[in-house]
Amino acid sequence: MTDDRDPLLQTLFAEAQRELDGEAFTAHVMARTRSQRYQVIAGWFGVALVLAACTWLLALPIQEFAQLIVQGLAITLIDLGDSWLAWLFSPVNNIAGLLVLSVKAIRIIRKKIIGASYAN
Amino acid sequence: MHKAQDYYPNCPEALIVSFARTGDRSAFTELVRRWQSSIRNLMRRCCSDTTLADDLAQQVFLQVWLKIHTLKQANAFDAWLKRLAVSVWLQHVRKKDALRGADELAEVELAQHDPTSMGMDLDQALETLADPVRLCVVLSYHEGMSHTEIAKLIELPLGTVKSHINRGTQRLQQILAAYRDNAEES
Repeated sequence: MTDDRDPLLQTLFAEAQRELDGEAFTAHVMARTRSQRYQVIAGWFGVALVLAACTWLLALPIQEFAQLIVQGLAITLIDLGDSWLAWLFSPVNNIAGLLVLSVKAIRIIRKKIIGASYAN
Repeated sequence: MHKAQDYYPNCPEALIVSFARTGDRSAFTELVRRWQSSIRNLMRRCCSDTTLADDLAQQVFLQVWLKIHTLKQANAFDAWLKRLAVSVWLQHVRKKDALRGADELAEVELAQHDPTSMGMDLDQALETLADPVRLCVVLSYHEGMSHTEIAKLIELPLGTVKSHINRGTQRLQQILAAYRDNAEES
């Protein structure tokens, strides 16, 4: 079957196509766009309100959790006492330092492996 | 002193679309004014209920207002608008879940319908078709789209679109010929 159309049906469709008066319709659409805008604004206001309430309610627990993490990361790995060595190694002699160094080492090893595979 | 929107009725469409994309409400009003008849007629062919058709047409224009900033080419507005209209219609059809088993339903309706009744017009004849068949027929005859364009637009295989249009045309011919014969006799 091609895109050929039945002439009778085509005439009927053409006759059914009427120029409709658009003033009332257009006014209605524009009124709905306005109310839709107010709804969107109200929605964003609601979200902002909920976020503000959550921040206010959860501020203390979040702060406590953050403090716990900071304390955990600051735990000394090797006890070096109060000697100058303790001051010297203090940036790396803790869990945070160990984590940072581990990530760095993994990245370097990964780069070397990938570089080696490209060279081959 | 004239305002910019006083000139909109005489402006080329691409320019008005460009203004509407920036959030110009007057330009958007002019677009609604220009296209409302076409979209309302399209919806009236898709569903014979004029109130529902107008409501769906309004939804189309609300979608246009929300999404027009995403339209890349201003001169592609008409094709984009048609796509939105079809998408709104399909959403409506999915909502009422008419696509499922609609073919069988239409067969029953057609069988029960008296084709010689005088009240039968194009919209009523279209109503007897299953939703996907009706949509394909409307896009072909009302919008003058090719089968390939329809298949692309409603994401159906080309063969299915052709078969829908073929079946829909045959049914409409059958119903409307009976009506026309009856009208001629009286």
